[in-house]
Amino acid sequence: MNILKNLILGAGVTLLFSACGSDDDLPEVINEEETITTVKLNFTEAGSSETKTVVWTENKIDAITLKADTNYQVSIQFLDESDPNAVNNITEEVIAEKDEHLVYFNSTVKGLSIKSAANDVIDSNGVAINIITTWQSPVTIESGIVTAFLIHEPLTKVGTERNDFGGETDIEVSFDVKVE
Amino acid sequence: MKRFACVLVFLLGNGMLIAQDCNQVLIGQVIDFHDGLPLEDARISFNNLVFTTDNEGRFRIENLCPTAYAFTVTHQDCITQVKTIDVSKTSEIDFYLEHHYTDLDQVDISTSNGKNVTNSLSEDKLSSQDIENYSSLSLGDALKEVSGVTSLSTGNTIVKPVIQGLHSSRIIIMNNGVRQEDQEWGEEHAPNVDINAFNQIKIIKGAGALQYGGNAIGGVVVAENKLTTLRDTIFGSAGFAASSNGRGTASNATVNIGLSDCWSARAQGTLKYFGDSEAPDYVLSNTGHREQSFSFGTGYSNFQFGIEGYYSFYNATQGILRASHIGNVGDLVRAIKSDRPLIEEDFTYAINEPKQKTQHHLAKLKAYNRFRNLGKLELQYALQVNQRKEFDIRRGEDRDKASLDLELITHALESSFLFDANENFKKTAGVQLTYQTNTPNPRTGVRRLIPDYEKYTAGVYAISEISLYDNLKADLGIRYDYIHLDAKKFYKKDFWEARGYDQEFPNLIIRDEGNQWLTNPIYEYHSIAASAGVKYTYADNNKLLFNASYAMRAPNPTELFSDGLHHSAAIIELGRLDLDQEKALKFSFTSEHKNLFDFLSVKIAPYLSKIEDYKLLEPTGLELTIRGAFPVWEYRQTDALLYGVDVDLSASLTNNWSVASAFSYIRGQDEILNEDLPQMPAPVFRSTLTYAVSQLELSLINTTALKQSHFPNNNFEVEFTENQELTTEVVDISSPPPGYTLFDLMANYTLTLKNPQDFRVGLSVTNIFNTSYRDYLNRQRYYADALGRNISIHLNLKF
Repeated sequence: MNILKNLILGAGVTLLFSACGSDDDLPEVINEEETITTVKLNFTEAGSSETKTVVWTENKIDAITLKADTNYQVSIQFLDESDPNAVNNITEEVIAEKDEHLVYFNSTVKGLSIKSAANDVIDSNGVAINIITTWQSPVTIESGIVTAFLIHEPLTKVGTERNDFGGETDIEVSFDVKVE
Repeated sequence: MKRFACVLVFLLGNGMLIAQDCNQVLIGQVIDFHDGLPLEDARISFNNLVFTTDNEGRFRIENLCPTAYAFTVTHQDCITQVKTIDVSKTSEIDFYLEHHYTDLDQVDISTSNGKNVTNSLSEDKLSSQDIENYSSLSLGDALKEVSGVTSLSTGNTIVKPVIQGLHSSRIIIMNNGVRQEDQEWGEEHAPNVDINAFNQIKIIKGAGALQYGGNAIGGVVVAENKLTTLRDTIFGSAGFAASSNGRGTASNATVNIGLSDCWSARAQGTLKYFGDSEAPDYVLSNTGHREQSFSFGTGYSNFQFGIEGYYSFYNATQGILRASHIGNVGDLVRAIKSDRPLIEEDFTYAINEPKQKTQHHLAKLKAYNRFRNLGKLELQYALQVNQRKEFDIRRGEDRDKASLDLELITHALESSFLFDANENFKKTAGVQLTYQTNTPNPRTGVRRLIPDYEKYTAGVYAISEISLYDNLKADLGIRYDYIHLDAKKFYKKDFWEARGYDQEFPNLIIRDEGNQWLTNPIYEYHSIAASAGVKYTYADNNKLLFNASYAMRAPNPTELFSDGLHHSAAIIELGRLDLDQEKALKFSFTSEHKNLFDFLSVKIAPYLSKIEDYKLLEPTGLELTIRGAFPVWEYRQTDALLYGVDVDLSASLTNNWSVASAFSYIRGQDEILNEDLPQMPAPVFRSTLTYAVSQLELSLINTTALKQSHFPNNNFEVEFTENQELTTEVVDISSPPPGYTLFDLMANYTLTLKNPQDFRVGLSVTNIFNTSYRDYLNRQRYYADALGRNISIHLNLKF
């Protein structure tokens, strides 16, 4: 009985001592890898091979300048540039999981029409997911905001505004747009 | 055929003396020691007089002289037991008879079961039958049976108890004598315990039970299951439940062994397997859960000396509603506006991200020794290892990695001495030492929400119980805790400066790590707690209780250090390094009136609590990320005033019909900003109508929660480009959902297979009318309705 009590006491004391002794190994730093750091819109004017790229990062947001009454083909890219030496192209993953993803553009620019392009990515249900779109700019001088969304697991891919799709927003970035 | 035998265990009630000749009254109950059920038709005889208990196991013996009587207590074919009681000192006594199904050599007497922890605070108990009814659910669900106890939940499986408006770090859960350390600070961290591991649960609403800890300003939940004190016996139970909602099952089994040489053992295990739950109108996608747990204990005990070892393991995987993992504040706005979840899938048993995986190991060794004419010394060591992994929806290589991976290890060594030689002045003094480490796994690739830390605490306490008069008892307690917290926390340099920490805490930096500082915040706290109260017993065991308590609570690691994104709430949560201790002063009063007009029992318990430096989380701004905008929530400390009342009524209408009703109301106010506190439970009524005839018991239960009309306005505005327009939207996160009323039905039929009343079949239907509702204290109320109808079948076999 006394032996037992001594044992328990002994265990406790040893424990408190060892606890005091274990120190000095500092925790290692975690450099968070944001899975997506950059959204790029690559604009190609119809009938031209020249490409203009507009970039959204948390530090730098480009504006979009469009010529009036012009047709553009626009491809969207999602990149992980948290390690500049090993840039990850997340677009490939989105395309691989095309059934659970949808890109949606919302525009406040009067007369700007954004539609899925003929060479867009089509999911297994035959729905285009707007990785490649055609933008038809208005004939008049306008300005506004275009917001690009990447939606994960939308309830439906049929709709005309963000509210219609449900799902979880993976990306939501806004660009100032000028039509000149 | 084994002989059906019983053992008599007694518990002394409260002394009451009316100094006149032969008009003493002895009242009480005969209760099954094992499952807490009252025993009807038990016979109590003395001097050739025989009394039998009613259907609630109650008896009342009048015209006794103030002297000692030898009472003989029997029930069915139990061995007859004799107990001598001095009626001049005792007016109420509960006899505990134990059913078990083997021969008994020896009668064992225990005085511990059923005893109150404090004299002056209202205590509520859940019996083993209550626990059986909740075997497929959680501790938090079962505790809602008690007035004044509500729950803070994340979906339907992560359920935390809220005692009179306070939860998480403000509550202590005692898991078989060990203070549960399972990262209880988090609102979406449910207690990592299996309800089936216990056969009795007590709730103490207040800080007065100082032996458990000084910082339980909300209260204490004491869940325990003692080793059998019976000899030469083996008995146990096996339970099975199947539920329609979640389409799953829960099974559990317990075996108790008592050997003749004072050794006993107990083993218990539970398995739960559930798929997606369903609201009335849709599947709650990804809300399945799995749980496996077991416990084993063995010990030697005689009156003088005892030693016990105990180990329990809990392992759970819980899905989090898919639609509650939201991308940004725009999704939150859409979720609030939508009647349906924004992500729905077909029913499945699969559990995907977001999910939680938790494991809890508890091992303890405990010994006691009694010293003649002095008291009882107890010594206990406990080790707890808690592992929590939380999985968010991630991409690429990180897809299957946890976003949060914490290991919390707690060693606790404690000793207490109970001086009980003087029956009228009992004292307990004790000391508790704990050492705790928290180690986040750096492989998550996500910055640590809770940092690495080491914590030492040392507490000393003294409590005493004084019988001032036969009908007036007082208790008094004081406790001091020293807390030393040594954390290693990384801060982003821009954040460190933006918060002004570079000015306020320049000495905390110990290493430069590129764009982050490694800092070493060290905190020391001295916490004082004190409690004093009285209990006055009058006329037929009516009681008045009054308690005043003061307690301090040191800030928890979330409040100090949290720094990151919570997907379930779509908030960025920020702690503060400059928080002080909470200081709570609480007054509670309880009036318990039994046998009013011979059929009614009433308990009214108002309380008032003033908490200085009360911590709360509130939105302070928006932060723009590539996922869109996120509200930033920060901790703030304020002075709070909480007050409310818990009311319990019960009445026996006829021999078969009875009704019980509980009501609780609470208000919480921020006294500095003169506004309401967030997350205060809405007024709630819970009423049960029971019809019992021989082996059948039918209960209809109504739960009605009113709409919470007192809440702070934490709404904020965000800008949207929607409908081809740039609009400003108010995000209404504050408005509570409407009130609701739900009906449940519970039927139990007890059969005799091999031994009397050894098999129980139960059928329960909860939310009979499949009502769609949302609860103010469910963190998923923005995203989906609560559970729809659930039909369950319960089978329970005792052997």
